[in-house]
Amino acid sequence: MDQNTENDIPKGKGHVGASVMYLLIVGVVFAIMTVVFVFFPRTKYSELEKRDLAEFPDVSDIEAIRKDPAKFTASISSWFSDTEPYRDELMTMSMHIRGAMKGDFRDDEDVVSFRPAETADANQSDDMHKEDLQLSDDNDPNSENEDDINDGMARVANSGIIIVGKGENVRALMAFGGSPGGGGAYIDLLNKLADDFPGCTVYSMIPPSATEYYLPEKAASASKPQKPFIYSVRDRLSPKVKFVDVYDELLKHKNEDIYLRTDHHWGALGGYYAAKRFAEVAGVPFKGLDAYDRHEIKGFVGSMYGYSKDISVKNAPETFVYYTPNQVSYDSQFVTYTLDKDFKIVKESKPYKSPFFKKFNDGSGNAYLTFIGTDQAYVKVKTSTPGNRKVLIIKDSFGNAVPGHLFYSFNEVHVVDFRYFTHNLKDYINKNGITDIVICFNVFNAYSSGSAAKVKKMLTQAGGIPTTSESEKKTDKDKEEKEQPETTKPTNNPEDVNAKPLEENSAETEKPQKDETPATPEKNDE
Amino acid sequence: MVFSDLFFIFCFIPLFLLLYIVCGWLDKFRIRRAESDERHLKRPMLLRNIILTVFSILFYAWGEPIYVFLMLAVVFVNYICGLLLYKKHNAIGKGWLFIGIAADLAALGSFKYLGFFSGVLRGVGFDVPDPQIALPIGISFYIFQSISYLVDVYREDSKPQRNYFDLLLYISMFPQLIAGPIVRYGTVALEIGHRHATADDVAEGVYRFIIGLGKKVIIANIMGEIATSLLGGNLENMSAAAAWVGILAFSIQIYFDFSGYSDMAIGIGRSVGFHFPENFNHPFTCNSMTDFWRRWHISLGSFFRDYVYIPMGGNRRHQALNILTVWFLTGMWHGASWNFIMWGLYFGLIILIEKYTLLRWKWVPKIGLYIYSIFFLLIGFGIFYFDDFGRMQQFFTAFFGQNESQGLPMHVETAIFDNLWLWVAAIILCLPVRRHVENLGCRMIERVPYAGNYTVQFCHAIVSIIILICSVALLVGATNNAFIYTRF
Repeated sequence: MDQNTENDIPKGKGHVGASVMYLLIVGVVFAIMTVVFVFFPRTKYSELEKRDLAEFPDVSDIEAIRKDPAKFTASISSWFSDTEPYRDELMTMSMHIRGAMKGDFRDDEDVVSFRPAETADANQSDDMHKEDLQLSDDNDPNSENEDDINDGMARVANSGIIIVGKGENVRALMAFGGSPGGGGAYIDLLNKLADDFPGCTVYSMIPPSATEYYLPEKAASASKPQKPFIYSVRDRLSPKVKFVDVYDELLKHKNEDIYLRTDHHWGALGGYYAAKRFAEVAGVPFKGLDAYDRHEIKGFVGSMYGYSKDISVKNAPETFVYYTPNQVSYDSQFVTYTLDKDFKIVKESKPYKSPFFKKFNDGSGNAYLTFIGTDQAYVKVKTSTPGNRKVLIIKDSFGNAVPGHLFYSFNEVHVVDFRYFTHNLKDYINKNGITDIVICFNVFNAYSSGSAAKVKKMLTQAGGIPTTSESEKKTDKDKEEKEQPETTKPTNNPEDVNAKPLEENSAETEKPQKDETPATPEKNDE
Repeated sequence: MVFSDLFFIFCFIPLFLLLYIVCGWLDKFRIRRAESDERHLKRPMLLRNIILTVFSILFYAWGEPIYVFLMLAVVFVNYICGLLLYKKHNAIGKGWLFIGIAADLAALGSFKYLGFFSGVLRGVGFDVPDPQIALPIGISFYIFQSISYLVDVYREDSKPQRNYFDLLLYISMFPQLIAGPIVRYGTVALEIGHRHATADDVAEGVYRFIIGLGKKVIIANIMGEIATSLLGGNLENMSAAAAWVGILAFSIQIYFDFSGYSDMAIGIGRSVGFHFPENFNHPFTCNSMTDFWRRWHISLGSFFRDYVYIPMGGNRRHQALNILTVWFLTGMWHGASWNFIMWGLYFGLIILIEKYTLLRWKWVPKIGLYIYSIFFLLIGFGIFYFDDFGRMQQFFTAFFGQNESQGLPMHVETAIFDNLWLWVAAIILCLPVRRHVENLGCRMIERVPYAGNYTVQFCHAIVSIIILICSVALLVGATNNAFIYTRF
């Protein structure tokens, strides 16, 4: 049976010595790899995947081991292969290998590839979809077209990533799977806000994802159009709610850098145009970009690299541009939250002052955190703009790019994240004398019923997280860094460890800022 | 535990090798002392066999900490039956053979097929509960090895194993335990007690193992991803291109997955001195379905040939019935599901028809035979892939172009271009190019004495290191990594 099969190796003279040589070479390499894999310190946290890696199973829990020994052994295996030394480097290498398998003779504009969710890392897409880009359509009672949403393709499209172009122009897009009938909970929320706060004006602002403007025709089937959904929401809103047509505004500027190519967020310019449209609707003053200083962070590679695990995204870094107002003084007061591993808020800091715009180094993958620095915070910005208009922006991470362009328009700008706010929102609005309430959810969160439900809950919740003092918080800082899953942190760049926000003395941001406390606790990117 | 797991590669294997080598020295030491003591000479492999058995049990228990006892029991029953039936050509011998095989099949039946049969019974109206038994890994493989042991001993092709632990070693040997090849007892009977691994054997074994690892991790896993992306979602209105590319990816996946596993098994076996049978011989170069099955999962085909087909009468009596029985069983062996039975019968029927047509027609050009074979193979794998008949139907509707075609849809384009070089490499590697390249290379350098072998082994070393490093990198962060055939 041995002859005539696929693996015969021909032999000649001197084969023993040659075999020994082979064994020596391969043996040495294998031995080195074994030593590295077994004896080198194990990786505990993956920068690239933004997650804590598996922990060694609990050996002391004899009862559990006896109950399911296979699970125990399996968890040892998965611990071993999850925490290998140099994990991020090896993963980057594996992406390079995958990248080398690509063969493309197509023209630049024809190059499109689609990555369905299954190929992405489970933990990561979980984070992403649980919190930032929610699409829990199946329990959306107001969705008129449930079959459509629940079918397999839509599910794939919800979390799929489409990569367009090649070389420096690669752009990663996140597919949308919603249908026009969705968003019922979002509409209810806005209508309720309008009813509950007759003294305030309520605005709806739905930034589409970049997919809407940059998806090539040939890839159209991979993502459902967002326009019908957004305008269907507009038409279903109560007349008391003012709709800010961000969609139309961005469409006009589609050829500018309104979106980041390598990140799932829009860029500062996108936020600027959205703010401009909002200012028009709200009837407040607004200043052009000549009233701003322009800043650049070069070599930015955003979240889509990690999400798509596609090396071509990493190979196409972009310049992250943002603008800081220079003719107004403003003073921002932060309250930050500490989360545990399950995204539960465990601590709330005392209010402290800190720059609104953080400064990141070139090459930082965290550049989108320039605005506010984190999602796990609420911020109150007091500006030198006269008048009594006070705006509250309830937002997801897209919303972070908007408030920085409203300092010329409002006397106070309040920013609350829809995931992280422990106080009673009603009290907050009344106490601060808010006059304008903006719900700024990207199209994914506007579609999801869960996101709106969270805000609804804030209206009635009593609040109950223990407030910790500043010093206490600082001692917890190291732990906190690990624990914060940073769902919106747009980085996946393993080289980014040195990226850190500029301290308050920086020339970039100090000008408008007045008195900040040193070593602000939210700077968890060091 | 699976071979393509970093824990296996960097913990299990090094520890095993280390202890095995140490035991080899100790065995040698014992033999040197044997002049004064007869007992040592009798079992020159004793310590090495103990290590091999212990690691095999560990290997199995790692994945099946409870069912490992089932395996120990099965081996025990076969051990007893083997001893009792040897050289008894009367009813007693037959009786023990029957009891042994019945016990083996009962174990297989209850752990693999009970759920299926109860489902069938429920389907026709009987009120039977679903036993909900999880399939013990590798049971199909080790039960078949047990049967081959009993039959070989009964036929006196081999002597029965007098030592329980040696029989346990044969059945449980970790390289081939969970996904073959199905090693016949006679093939390794002598090597259990006396074997010698030369440097050539070890080098060849290591090389085979690494080639197998590469086949699995570099080709099969990525092809599997492609197959899932095209065939795993909603199949309604699927385009013909998606169906074809998807099933092609799956065919390549299953070949490299399974043959990669066999390579790794054969490689480990060779490194410790065992010569397992080959399991594949470039199946995708076949010129008929009959030919395909001589090249694909050879150890299973020859098992059915020798233990079912020929005893039933082979081509002398009711050949058609024999063929269909064998193929029904082949299908059934793969899994307790109707699509596997259908898959087996599909091949049985084609092979039966081929006997009267294709194999007699000498005028069909080679290329025609080849296209014919690949076409029917893809259909076969389509049946194999979908255990849900509704989805299978949707797939074949698309496969035969019954859905409105929209050119080359984007996800198909992605599947092709994102992995273009992998497709090219995989398709080339389905052909016997490696053998040709190596033969050619050898012929070119063989004029230089000695240098030839060194060059070959040096190239092997380079290839091995590249494959090893790439595989390890790709295994980092790999989520879906199980071998397809370990679930049968």
